[in-house]
Amino acid sequence: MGKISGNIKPTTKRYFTALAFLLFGFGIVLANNPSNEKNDEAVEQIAATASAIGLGQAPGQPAPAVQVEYESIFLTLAVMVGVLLLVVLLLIFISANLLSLIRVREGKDPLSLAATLKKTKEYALNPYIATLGNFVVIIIAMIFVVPIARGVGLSQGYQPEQPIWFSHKIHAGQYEVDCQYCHTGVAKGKNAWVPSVNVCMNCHKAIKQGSITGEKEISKIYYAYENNVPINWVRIHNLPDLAYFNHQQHVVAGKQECETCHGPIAEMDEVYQYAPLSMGWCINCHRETEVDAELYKKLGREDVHTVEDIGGLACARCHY
Amino acid sequence: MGKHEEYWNGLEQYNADSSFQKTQKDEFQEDLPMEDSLSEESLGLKSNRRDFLKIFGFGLTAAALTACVEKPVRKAVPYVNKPENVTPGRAEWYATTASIGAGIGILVKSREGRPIKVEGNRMHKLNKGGCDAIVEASLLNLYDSNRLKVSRGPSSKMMKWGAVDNEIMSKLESLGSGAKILLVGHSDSGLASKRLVQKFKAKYPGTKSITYDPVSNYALAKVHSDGGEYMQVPGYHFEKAKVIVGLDADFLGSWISPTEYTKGYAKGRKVSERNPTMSRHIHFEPRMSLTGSNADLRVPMKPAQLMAAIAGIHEGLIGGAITWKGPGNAVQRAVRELRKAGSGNSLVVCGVNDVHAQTVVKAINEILGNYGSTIDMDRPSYQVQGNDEHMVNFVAELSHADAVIFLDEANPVYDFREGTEVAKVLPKVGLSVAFVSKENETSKLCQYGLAQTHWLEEWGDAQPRKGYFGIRQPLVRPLYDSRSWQDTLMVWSGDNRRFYDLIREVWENEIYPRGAKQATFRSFWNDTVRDGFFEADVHGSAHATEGAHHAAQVPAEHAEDEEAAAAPDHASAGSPLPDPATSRAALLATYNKNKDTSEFVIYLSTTMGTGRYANNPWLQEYPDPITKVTWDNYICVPYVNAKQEGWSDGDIATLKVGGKSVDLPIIVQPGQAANTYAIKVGYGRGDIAGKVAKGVGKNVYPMVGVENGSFSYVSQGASVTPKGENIRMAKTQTFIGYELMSDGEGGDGKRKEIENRVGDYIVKETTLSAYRKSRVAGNKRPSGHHMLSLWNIHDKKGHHWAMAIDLNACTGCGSCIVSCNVENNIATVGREEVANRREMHWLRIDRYYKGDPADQEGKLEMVHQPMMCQQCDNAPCETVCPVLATVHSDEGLNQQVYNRCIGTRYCANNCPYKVRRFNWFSYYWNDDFKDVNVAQHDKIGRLVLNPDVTVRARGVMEKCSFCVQRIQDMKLKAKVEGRKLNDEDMKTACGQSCPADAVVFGDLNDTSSEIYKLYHNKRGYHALEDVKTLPSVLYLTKVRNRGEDESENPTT
Repeated sequence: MGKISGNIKPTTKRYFTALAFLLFGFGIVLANNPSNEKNDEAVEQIAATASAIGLGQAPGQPAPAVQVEYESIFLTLAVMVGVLLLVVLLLIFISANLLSLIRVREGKDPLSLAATLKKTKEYALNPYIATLGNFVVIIIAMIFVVPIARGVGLSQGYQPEQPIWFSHKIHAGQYEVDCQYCHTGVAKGKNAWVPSVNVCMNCHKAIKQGSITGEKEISKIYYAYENNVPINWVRIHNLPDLAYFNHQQHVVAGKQECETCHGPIAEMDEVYQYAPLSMGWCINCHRETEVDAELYKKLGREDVHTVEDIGGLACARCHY
Repeated sequence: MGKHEEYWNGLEQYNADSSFQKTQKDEFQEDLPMEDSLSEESLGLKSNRRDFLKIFGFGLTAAALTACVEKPVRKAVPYVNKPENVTPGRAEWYATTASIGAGIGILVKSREGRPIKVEGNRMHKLNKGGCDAIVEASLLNLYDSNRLKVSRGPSSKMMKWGAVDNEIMSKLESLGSGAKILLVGHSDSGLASKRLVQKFKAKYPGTKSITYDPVSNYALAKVHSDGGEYMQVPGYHFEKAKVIVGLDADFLGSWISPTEYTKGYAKGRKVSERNPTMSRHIHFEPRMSLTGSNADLRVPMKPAQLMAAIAGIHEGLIGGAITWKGPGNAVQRAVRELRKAGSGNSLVVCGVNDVHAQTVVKAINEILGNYGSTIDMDRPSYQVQGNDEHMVNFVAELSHADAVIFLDEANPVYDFREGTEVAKVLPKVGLSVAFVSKENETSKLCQYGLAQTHWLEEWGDAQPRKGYFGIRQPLVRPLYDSRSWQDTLMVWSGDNRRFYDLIREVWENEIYPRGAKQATFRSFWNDTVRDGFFEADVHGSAHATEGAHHAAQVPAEHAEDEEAAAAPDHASAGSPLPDPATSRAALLATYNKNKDTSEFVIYLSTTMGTGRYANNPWLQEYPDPITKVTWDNYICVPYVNAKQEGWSDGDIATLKVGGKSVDLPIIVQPGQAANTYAIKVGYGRGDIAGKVAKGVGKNVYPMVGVENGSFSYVSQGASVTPKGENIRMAKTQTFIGYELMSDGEGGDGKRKEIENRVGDYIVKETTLSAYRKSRVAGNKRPSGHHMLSLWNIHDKKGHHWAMAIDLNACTGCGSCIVSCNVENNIATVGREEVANRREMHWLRIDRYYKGDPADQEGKLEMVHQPMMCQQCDNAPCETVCPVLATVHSDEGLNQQVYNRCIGTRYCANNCPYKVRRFNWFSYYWNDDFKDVNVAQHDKIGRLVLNPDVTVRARGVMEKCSFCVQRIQDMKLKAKVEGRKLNDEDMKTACGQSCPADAVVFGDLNDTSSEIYKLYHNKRGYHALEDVKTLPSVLYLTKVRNRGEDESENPTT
């Protein structure tokens, strides 16, 4: 710690410190565990490396690699903020000067920065006002920060543009193709799988003309199939790597409908993230969803009603 | 017994030196800068404008930065054409056989085509599910970024296989048909490999194949081989023996087939409550080995004395006078107990690579009637094929050879005693080729360094015991442009099929007819590949001759040449065998000659093996079971000598023997025979072995000698001279102290009290006779006011996971440590950080000595205790966590939530077992760890990570989770199938790899489970029970069979 400057009294410092810590805390919350972001990256690199070194076409076929593209708009934002700040400062100075000129014309003392500051300081250093100010600042900050912080990292409504304009509304809605016809992994394990091109070709060998896009989109499947180029779908539902999620667990063991989490898929042309996929949302469902009590009776548990009763709220069900 | 035995976890504690006292006081000793932050100035909230601006600025920047970071756009890329049998997100298991590890059967877990875990195959006859650490860890060598990515030709030219084949075949052909080609390889029991070499010989009749093992058991094979195709050593049945006498054979740690032997040994050592019997194990050896540490009676003997002891046992058994009775008449006692065991009920094994010793031991076992009962010659082992006599004149032979081919990473420049001479001669050989997965000392001097596949990338077979056939199937397509040596020799032999086709051919012709149940070869093959294993008949028709017949038939056109060429392969070729009497006299002569000189022993360790996999941080950081040292080899110095000379751990000394010398740190070893020094092999690989092995330890292979035509790992006239420097050794256990042991203020008076607590609360033991009288012998459990608890017991309505560890079965081998490392993505932290007590292993094995470290008479004993998170019901860690990052689950698990953890380390401080590990760094990311943490830091190395387990970030605490990901997986499987959980499926990583079946895991709420039964065993206790933490890990008291010391007949 450096030397203390004599001018500023403790209250101000507390005021400042509180503000600084709030901002600091805000920053931390926003940081949203950079460690885990890192972890994401680590795992993705694995997948990327796996595909890079051509790990196993057979018997180990290439893992469906999860590729990452970082699109940072930080620089643009920073420049914009800087310019705006400059404009604001400029305007403040101009208006202060004008105000001062008016006062001189009216025969009053010109506006001096030092005098204004002194006056403000007198008010601010009043212990009552300072304490009240502290509270107000904290409360306002909480009101704004908490909801924002809660929403950080969630992407409800995320609807990226896909490489192929594929409509679930047509496939799942109009033609009533069963979800598991394409997403075959749902009942088998952790991942639901985006269908491989050969699955598309089961139907599209015959169907070459789309009702909305004509040949434009369907030809992309043909291109992928004929040239052995995988399609880079954009992943919509992303859970952090610190959470383990298993489709089989929910669909087979838990007998959940796809729509519970994925929403009205059959009505979506382009899929968006329906659920918030936050932990609170998960937990809430675990509290409310009833399980097959008969099965548990068979296994000797009489008291089981909801997922919570079989430990659905325990941390290490998903985090390990 | 039990109550007041003196235990100590290392010499530091025994001597109770002040530094030890200090280390025991705190788990985290680094002083925090408390002085500064608690000073008046900083506490007075005196911040100034600059401080404010700093914090403000930082906060603002952090907020701005994080708000600006876009969430990454992630892609989901499906297959174009998905293969039928791959299920992304689900692990598949395949059976295979490693080319290392004595041919035990293994299962490999594969995720999205990546092998990520190696475990034992429970169906396999040899290892029955156990797996050793080196095989488990060798998985990481698949993803070693130092591997050869493409073959190298002369003058560092990168070559494709087509070019390699053309160049080498034309060179081989230009040498002419009589050219002398040497094929140098290690023991390989595979039948198809054998046929392949014969094929190669048929094409190039001047070929001589030389098989050697860096640490050889040739003498044992020599006295047991019958001149057949394979050299053979006996198949041992440790489970059938009532008295086992080990003569410097580390059969639980490193000798021939330790996993298989441990399986049998532990079976014979487990004590049932109803009928308590167990085998008695007597062990004579120079240095404390893992096997010796498990013996009921272990007498340190210097190598010369060991010779006299072997002779003495024979003398005693044939009724003569025993020349040297050993300390405390140990030899006589062994003879008495062997006799008392009765015919065929004992087993004498000897690890000395000397024909005389092995001849006498064979005679001893014959007298005891052990052949046919505990020693199986119907199914002899083919695990040892190394012929030392081939190597005695290797340098001369090499200098006359026209071509030399080193198969399967054979590396004589490093691991052969005359490596430097080989290095001189090798560049002069007309054609030199080495098959290596990465360049090694030998390949560097060869014209061609050919990229060989890892055993997970290739087809192969094995026959570890006669009639026990294993298949090696590839788990992954070669990562690089590598090809197995077998596939390559196929090409060079002029056969354009793959080795796979040859295996099928050999199996169809020679193995399928031997008792296969399947109607067609096709179904037999499919079943065998699925099981990884086939047990063929050895009785009935004379299969051995049939096999030989086939051998001659395969390359029919060269039958005559082939026979001539094959002759030197046969085991009996070489000098004739002496008779027992001559051998005994020779042993006694050795004793008389060397009994007074100081001796030097070279040994093979459980941790590093021969050094082939030195570039593996899992092995480097796997603490030696006895010395607990990582990342180094060292001179083991007997406590008596060290005390006399004033040497201590970490003193750098020069060991001189036979004109050669090596500088290494000293490790003082209790229970080592006086005037004997020992160093383990496998270190000193130098820069060439890769970034991990670089600069670790020294090579002692050049100090190996030759005696009676076989390698001798003992030499005489050794001297140790300290150089006056001292380095900090990276030892694990003695750095971690229980709180109970640390409240003494130091000094001798207090020590006794501390030690007694170990015997009372941490490890408990009893003797077999006491146990027979009372099932609770040695297991006094606490009662009284201690048993009140402040907390409510957690309700466990569904499952209650618990573990039981039988201290009587646990040998301390540490295979569980490596298994845990692999399963749970545990970081390796390197030498410096281990020395800072910051190793990350979730599971450690504590070893406690008991007795006098200077002992030379067999009064020093050892107990091994695996220690991991005890998953306490009243967990002290849970109550102190300020952010609820460690909480209890409804299934009795003590959960650690990484994402909540803020790293206060309160939990670790409050843990009485000291099993929590803190991430001091971002090991996966921080470049300081790039050379030691390759499984997480390295781009390729990361492929080995378990995708179901989080890689922990800096600043979080971690610990054993009872393999919760495996629990969840098994639960889900049961749920999907709508059934109850199967008790046998529930295995943690440590439990499944345990070759001794010492670790049992299961659901305590399931009254039919094995764990439930064990929890009602009267030997059961919890560590530090009086602290009332209510652990979910149960230990079973160790039982020692004192044999005749307590007039106890082990045969009843």
